[in-house]
Amino acid sequence: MATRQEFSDFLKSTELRAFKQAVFAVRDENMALDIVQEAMMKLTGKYADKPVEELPLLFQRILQNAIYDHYRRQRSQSLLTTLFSAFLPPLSQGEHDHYDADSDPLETMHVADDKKYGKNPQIALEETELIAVIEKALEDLPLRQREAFLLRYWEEMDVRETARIMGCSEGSVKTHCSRAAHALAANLRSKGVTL
Amino acid sequence: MNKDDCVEKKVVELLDQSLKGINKRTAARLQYIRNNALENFESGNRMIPDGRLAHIFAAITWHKNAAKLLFIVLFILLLAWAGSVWQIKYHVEDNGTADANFLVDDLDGDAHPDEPLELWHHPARSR
Repeated sequence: MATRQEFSDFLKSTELRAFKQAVFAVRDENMALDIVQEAMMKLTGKYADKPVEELPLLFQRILQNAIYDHYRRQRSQSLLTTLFSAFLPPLSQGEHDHYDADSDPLETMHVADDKKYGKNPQIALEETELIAVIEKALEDLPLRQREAFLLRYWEEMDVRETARIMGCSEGSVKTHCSRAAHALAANLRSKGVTL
Repeated sequence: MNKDDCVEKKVVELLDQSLKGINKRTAARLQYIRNNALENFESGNRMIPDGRLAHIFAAITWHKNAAKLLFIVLFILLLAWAGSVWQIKYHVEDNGTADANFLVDDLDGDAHPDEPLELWHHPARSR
């Protein structure tokens, strides 16, 4: 059974990548944070008795399921919104003010600063632009291809583990990865990016 | 080696770099979420029973699942019964007779399909 420290280290090492994966999937940072929160709470609440070696696989499975759940919820919510939006009263000015005036404890939270200001500004700018192009290309990939690509190459999982997380065969994982790599390369080439 | 085969390495490299660009506010929110999850871990751990208590919890869970299954079976039986009653009622109302399709076969077989319902011999009434 994993200890609190092991859980903490694991979550710390994976939270940023999990957040990015969720952002690629849902294209909204707040939604992505909700998804990461849901996945972390589920992992710590239901799988606290699992050994630390099983955590990466479990967490990825939970995260992917949370992303699928988000899609399902969004589909049913958009249907309800379309049907009933005409009956909802618009927010009054006072209600808007109330939301803006909410104090957020996160505003005052201390976070360790990262060392990103040591680079040549031109190189830093080029890199930022390149990253933005790549992120956009990743967002444009079909869901399953992106999922396979990120799990296989970014999370460094093997084909068998990726297949278990995605709930498909190993052959499908290889196909998704290959298609994703080709689509990414083609997309980047079309934007004049050579890697 | 195909040119596209190298793309994943470079993309992953850049994605790793992109993590450094996550803004402070998002990092703080992630830290907050992590802390909450760890609190959840501690409270969850206190709730994981061991030894004899674990057996009791397992038994309760088993019985809960069994009860759910039983309710489902009973519900299906109720639906089947209601369906058959409905079918008989409306069939008789439509035709005014008990025909060979279901009444005669199911009961004692005395009634002719064209007989009116009043003349139909129900085993309970005959007794």
